[in-house]
Amino acid sequence: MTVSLGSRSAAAGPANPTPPTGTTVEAVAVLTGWGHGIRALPADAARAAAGRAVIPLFRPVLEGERFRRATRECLLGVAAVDALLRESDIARDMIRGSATALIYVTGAAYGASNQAFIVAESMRQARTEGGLTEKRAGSLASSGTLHFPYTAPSAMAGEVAIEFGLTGPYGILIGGAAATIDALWQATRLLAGGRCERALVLAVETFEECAALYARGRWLVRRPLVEAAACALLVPGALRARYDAPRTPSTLETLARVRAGETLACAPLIALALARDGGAAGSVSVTGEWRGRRAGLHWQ
Amino acid sequence: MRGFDALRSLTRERVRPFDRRRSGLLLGEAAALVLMTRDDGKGGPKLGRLLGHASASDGSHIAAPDPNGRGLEFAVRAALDEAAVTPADVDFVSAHGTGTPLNDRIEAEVLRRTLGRRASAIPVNSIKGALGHSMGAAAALEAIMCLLASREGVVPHTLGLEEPDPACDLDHVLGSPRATRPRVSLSTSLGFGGCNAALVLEGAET
Repeated sequence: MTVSLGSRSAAAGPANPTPPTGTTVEAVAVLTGWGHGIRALPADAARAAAGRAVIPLFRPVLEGERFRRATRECLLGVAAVDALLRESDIARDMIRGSATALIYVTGAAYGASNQAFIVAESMRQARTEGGLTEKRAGSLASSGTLHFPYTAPSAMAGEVAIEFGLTGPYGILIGGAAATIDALWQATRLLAGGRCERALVLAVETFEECAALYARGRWLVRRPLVEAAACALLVPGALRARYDAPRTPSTLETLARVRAGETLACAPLIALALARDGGAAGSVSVTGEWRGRRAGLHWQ
Repeated sequence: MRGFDALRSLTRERVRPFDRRRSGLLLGEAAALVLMTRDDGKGGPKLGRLLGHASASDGSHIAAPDPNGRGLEFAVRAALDEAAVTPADVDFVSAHGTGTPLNDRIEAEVLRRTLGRRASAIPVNSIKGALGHSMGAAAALEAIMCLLASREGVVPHTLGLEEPDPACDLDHVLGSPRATRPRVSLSTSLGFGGCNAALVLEGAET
């Protein structure tokens, strides 16, 4: 048995009778282990890595009591959106509210928070078994309370939504670069359907906390692994987007990999930033691959 | 399990969605799969149709729902809007209904606000009393349940619900399954980080 997609009454029409037909990528911000922005990217990431497996990103220092407990990937997500707003001179109030959609993508960045929870739990158990009473272990038990919500990938999008007051549509996609292409496509659909006035597509990838795991599964991903947080802001515009599943990488996909290294879900956003830096204002084709599946999005 | 226990989300008794004695959730492992196709009239018999979907962030708290259910309300209204249906068209609500004190009260308030006078006449259930909370699989299971209820002409009752909480005043299906054939169903789901989603489904004509 299957379920089909459809609206109950075609005569009733879409929710927004005059949806915009196109989109524009208004801004892109990129933070990577190489530095802030794409100007920090080396010409050849593999050579610049000089044998290092992981090029780590910093832990952003953000003001606010809430950020004391937030995980590094959450802080990086907030920092990427903040960088986008600052670099594009967009006020925070502009994106606050239900007219802004947030679509978050990651292939690896919930691994760090799961690792933190497992370590905290292991410490608590070890100390309790070592003779510490449950009562005295109370402060250690709170570590579970602190870390556990962050083991869910939705926590990352949640922290960004809380920080910027985003109450519009959301999406959370788990996967590498192909999932980011899906996210960009989803953003264009939300805009075309009048479901939002602007859409943030955010990707964060961290590797350092789970570096031992990546060392064991090193055939699964290319090197160097470069931590990154990137964000694109899409708004209604003149360019029509087309989604497909190409077999070969676009020029931008290859360029982003050569310049940045392996950034998983951040790669298509880095590619968009490279295109903008190169002066591409019109047609742009970005593609992304993850474990044998490649997706493409073409703005014309 | 330890993580949910640390958050004091796990019940020490049984899962009782919308019951005045509810004290938390239990986890249930599950896998669910829905095959979706274009609505082009081709292929074999269909179980039903997805009429509308919407999502919204609370932007409120990392581990608790917005106290006013703003995100859930936005998602329900937008899903009904996308489906081009009104509360008068909704025959059944599959609630998120975790059995936690806060979730169920807020969800009931949102359903009353969004469905208006119809809220007291639309059957509502939560299958988490029977299956536990299966996290990411829960929404798929509940969507399937909505369509099967339409096909079979019966809505499962909310296991564990015996004494409805007056603060969760809805037309709960309690005690035994209800013989009714819902055509249009509304299904709600919430998650960590304040994410909310709603589906509007239509069962295939029998």
